Amino acid sequence: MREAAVVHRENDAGAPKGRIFSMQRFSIQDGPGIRTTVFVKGCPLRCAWCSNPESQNLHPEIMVRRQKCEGCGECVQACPRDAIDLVEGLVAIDRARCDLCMDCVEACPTGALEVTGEEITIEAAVDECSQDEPFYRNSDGGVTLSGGEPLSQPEFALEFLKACKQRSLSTALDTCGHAPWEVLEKILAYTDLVLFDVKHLDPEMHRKGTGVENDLILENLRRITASRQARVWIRIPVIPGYNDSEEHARAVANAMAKMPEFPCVEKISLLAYHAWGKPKYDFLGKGYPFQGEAPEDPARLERIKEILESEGLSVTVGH
Amino acid sequence: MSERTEALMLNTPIKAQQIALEELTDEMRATRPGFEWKLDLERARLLTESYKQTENEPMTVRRAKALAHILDNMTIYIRSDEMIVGNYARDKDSVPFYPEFAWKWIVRDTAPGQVYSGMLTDEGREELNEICDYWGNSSLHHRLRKYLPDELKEVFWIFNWESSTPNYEKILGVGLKGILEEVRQRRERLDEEYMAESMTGMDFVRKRDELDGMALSLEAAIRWAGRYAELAREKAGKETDPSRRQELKKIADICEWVPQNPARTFHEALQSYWLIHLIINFLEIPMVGTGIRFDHVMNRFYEKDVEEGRIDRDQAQELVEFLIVKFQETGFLHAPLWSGFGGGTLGYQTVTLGGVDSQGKDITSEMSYIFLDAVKTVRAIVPPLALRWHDGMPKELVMKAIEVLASGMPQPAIFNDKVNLPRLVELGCPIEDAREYSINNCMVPTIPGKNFNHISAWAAGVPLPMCLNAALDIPDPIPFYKNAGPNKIDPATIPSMDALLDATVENYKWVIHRLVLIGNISDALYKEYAPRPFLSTLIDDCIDRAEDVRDWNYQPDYRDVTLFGLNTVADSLAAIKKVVFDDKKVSMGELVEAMRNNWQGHEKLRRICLEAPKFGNDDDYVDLLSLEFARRVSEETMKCKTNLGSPVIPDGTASTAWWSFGRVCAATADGRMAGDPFNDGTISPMTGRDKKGPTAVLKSVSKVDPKKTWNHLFNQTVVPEYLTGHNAELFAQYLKTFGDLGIHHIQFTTVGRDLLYDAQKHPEAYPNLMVRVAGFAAYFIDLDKNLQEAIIDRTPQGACSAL
Repeated sequence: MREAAVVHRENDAGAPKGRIFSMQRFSIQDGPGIRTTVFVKGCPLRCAWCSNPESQNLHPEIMVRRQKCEGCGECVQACPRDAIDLVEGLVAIDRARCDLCMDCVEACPTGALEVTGEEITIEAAVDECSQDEPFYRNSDGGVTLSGGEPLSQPEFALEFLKACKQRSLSTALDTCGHAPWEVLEKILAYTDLVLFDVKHLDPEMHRKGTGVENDLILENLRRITASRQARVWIRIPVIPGYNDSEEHARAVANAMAKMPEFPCVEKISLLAYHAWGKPKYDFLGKGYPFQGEAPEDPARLERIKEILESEGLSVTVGH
Repeated sequence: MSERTEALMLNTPIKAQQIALEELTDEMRATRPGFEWKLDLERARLLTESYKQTENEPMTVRRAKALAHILDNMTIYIRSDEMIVGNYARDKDSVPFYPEFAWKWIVRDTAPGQVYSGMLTDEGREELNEICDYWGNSSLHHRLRKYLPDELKEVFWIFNWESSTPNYEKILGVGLKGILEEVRQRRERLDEEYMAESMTGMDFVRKRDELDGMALSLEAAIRWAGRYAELAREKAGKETDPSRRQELKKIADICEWVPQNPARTFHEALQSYWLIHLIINFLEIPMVGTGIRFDHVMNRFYEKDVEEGRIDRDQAQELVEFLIVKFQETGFLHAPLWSGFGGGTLGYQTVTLGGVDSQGKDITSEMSYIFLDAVKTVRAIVPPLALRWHDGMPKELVMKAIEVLASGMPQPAIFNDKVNLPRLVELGCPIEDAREYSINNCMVPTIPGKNFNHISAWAAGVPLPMCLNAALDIPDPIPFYKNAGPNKIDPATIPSMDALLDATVENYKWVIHRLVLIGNISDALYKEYAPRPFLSTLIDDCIDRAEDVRDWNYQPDYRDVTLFGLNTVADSLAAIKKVVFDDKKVSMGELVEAMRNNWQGHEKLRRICLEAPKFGNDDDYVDLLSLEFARRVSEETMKCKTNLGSPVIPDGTASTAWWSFGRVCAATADGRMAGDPFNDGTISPMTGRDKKGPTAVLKSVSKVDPKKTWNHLFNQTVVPEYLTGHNAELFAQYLKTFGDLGIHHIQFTTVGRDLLYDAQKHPEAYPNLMVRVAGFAAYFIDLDKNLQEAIIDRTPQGACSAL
């Protein structure tokens, strides 16, 4: 219901606004050069290992950093729905009662309560991205639209990337690929580089890990490469016990080699699983869903790299 | 690093701020013995002996004879294993004392129970009193008080901080003997000129005295080197290890030859440089800086050695390492407040690398890389390194600099030719001279060999936030400058931001004019009582003019005054503009009341002020206020003139004043609490308030155009992973953009383990320390302890922040 409301408001406003949870300048790991990454809120996938849980829902949420709370109780006073208590002297929100009016955030004097998911106009977003233009120029950098899943706010994504191109900024789209081709196709016209996430090639495993099947995703990848409209970097989050087997690596290698117009896939980045997003689940009042927490063995990453390279692919561990 | 330089480094801890030593961990004490250093009275005793014997002689001659008496009789030593020799105190863990400038604070602060009491024994204190008996009120700074009109007596403060860079190419090219010959010939010519009636008697006497002083001091310097030769030979005679015996003989040969003769080898050039540097910086007078363009001066000696098969690269690097060890030995004792201001007691002996020659050609050479490798190898933060940034520099040099930074060293600092050259040219410097500029100390540019911007026999610091607070009638805990000026505005009737800015600038004007009035009396006294015959022989044109460096200036010239807290003012003005004038959330009266109470009971208002735009986020709202205020301050400063008619210009050499003066400043409107530091450096954002990453900070800083304002001190912190592998290339591009944006200077502290451990313990001090990997960003302090540990584990060992 909330998500529908957001979309509705966007339509009211004429030019679409985006809901983002972060805009990060000096991003150096989301595409080439020095970049600004715009993190869009909302994602159709629910990957258990997701390191940005605040990216998943389309609507704004409250992050509670109890370590910043001084127990003053201003939020308790401010809440019109009695959804806040002090537990062991520190703020605790009953999320079931909370209707996200954000009065508590306004009242909090310490910054322990924070909204994630600000609404931003295309103009404001592009203005901010343009500010680092001197850095892009020297580093072949630009703007990366990431998330969440940027395609979960398709109008914003399209208009934002179009506006970036109008200002001659180089653009990258960081996507999980789970969107109707018609949406993706329009956006590709304004995208120089696609950072395309591949999680698992087996449909069932993909569903288990992310909540959705991979047929649409893999079909989109094929269509992107066939369109030759953008360069492509494949990004594989390497998750212990999930997709880090040699067998899966070989399957990826085979699949990549069969891609139409394969050369436009410039490289594959292996991104090792990390648990650094874990505290953010806590801030959102959620449990951490991923069980196998051990960090990835570097030797295993190297082995996967070797297998992929044996098919003539260019592979990096990390960005 | 050879084992020998490593051992020497370990046994030569830098002379860190004495007060800060209490905070050293046991681990640091264990790895670097000898942190407790002492006051050595030998120079003071010898100088005083000489002064007593020369009371009826001209001052220049007295100064030369005093220097000669010191050089002829001081304790000299050669440490086992060292290859570059030369010392200025009786042992490596001591510093001398300069009673001719000031003594009262030393007697006070070394008394039992006082902060420096450990630096002297009881016998030492007794001797100190004996020496100081002679000086009474005739020490220069005590004499100064006598001259000050009452109105100036209340004004804080004045101290000695002079710097100068001799013509090392000439020294190494002709030797002191060549220079002495020049002095002798000049003296003969002086007689001829007088006989030809082309000179007044007054000028003749003054010039004749100066030339006498020059000759005496040059002869003394040559004898001093001879003492090292003699000592080395004596030690060689007793040495049982044959290879060390050979080395001592080599040292003896070298010290017999230089600095009196032209240097023939790289080793001789280094040795000659070091002896001269010690005399002008530590023995003739206390002076900071060095300003040598090391690679520019030294590479030809290295190349010739290589060509003739005398040396290889490793040997050359080892010699540079030996020189760096000697830099570690140096330092000054300063008054406790000064010490806090200066971030310790180091000599700020900045060595400059890279840049262009007088014709604009890049001068990078193998020596540039050798010096950087040596600094990286011995992990030296002394001497500070300045790397000149220009479009024609080789990429390889950029990558080498990044490699040194990545090793955890806060070196080199980077200075932008695109700012420094136009600034000097605009001042009136011929472009050929401007191109030869170097950084002498901290931020101060000089032109080697020229009598340029060096006689900062005074220096003054103005904490800018106090000028704003004074305008709002908010008293500071310590009333510097009578609370920084008399121009106050009644908060209830403040009509506009312009009026507030005007009042703040008026307060600054009140302070700066008074400081310059004091400075000019101080300069006059330095000229009268502390001429520098030795240094004058090494600075272009002094011999020809037969004048002391204090008697004239290279044209153009200027004098600097250091300002700090600029962006605390900018943030405060922005908060007032936003909260009081734009959003009208509170009245000015309420805000002032909250500040007077250090925000007690006004926490919500403080938060609103903290949320106002802050410098460092590429936000014109506040960045342009910083520019506007800086521009007006700069204009006012340049209206002040020195005794020789040169303008006074603000300078960014604030060192750690942003921290030490913040401690005594009341709350400011930006939400800063009383006693908290000002903004870092002189142009960096307030710590923790730059929330948009390093590119936004660079953009903000670039708006405060150094050509319209001054040469700002800019500190940035980076994580080592930005500096290695693929990211090193990106960092080079970030630096290139720094150059393109016309920012004057940047220096880096690498986040090391120590800092991360500190962030674990004091999360409130590191609100914006970011951890980034692809598609993810989090604040370090948000991570739980185990995750923090994991990140600390992947941070390189040895990365450290400066003491």
